[in-house]
Amino acid sequence: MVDEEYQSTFNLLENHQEYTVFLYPMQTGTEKRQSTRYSPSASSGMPSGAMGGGSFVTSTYDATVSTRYAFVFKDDKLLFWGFLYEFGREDDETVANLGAKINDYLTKKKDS
Amino acid sequence: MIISQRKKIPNMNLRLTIPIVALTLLSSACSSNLTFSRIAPLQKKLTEEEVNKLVEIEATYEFTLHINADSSEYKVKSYTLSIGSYDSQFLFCFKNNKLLFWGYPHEFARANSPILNEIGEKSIAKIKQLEEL
Repeated sequence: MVDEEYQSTFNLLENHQEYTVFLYPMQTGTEKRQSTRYSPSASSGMPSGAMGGGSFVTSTYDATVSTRYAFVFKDDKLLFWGFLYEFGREDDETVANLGAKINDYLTKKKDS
Repeated sequence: MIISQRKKIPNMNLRLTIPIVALTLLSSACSSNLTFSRIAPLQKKLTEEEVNKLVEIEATYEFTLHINADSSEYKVKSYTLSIGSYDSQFLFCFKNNKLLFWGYPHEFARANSPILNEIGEKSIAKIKQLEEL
């Protein structure tokens, strides 16, 4: 059903049970970004043929902004899915604890 | 001559790149809006101080609400959550200094709790009122 490549997958233990997490990048918005490149042929305001001609050209484009979206499986069955901030909000203690563990995993991965 | 011209280009690149990177880092560090990464570690029953430490920024609005469904007092803090160039309201609700619920206003409206439904509805009305001041 989710016809996209996952970003990462890993297993977590919670209360002696194993859970498999799949993280996907969910497109949640766009933002303006700028890219600057050196163009030898662009006008630098210098006389034609002068040494050092060309200039830096800046262009603006819409870049996709993605947010992590997680699917958690237990025994190959989908247990919970959502943005990471949604896990901790659940009344189900297992789901809330899994959310905290996913965050810990990602923080450790980022720091290493 | 051509060799010396080529040598200048990386230096010019470097001179431009350093201020651009510094400005980008500065602007992200000074951001006054919430981001998904800041709210990801939230857990129920965190104290207001613990939540403040996680989100690291000041709320746009904060107020208390009295709910018809029970006699408790609820504190609501409203933030602007930024996703790229799109900004939206994001609410934190505390009861007795413990985090009870957080989310977009529509998530309060669809929660399976009449109290949260009412908090969401009253918060939107209150924020609208504050915005008009």
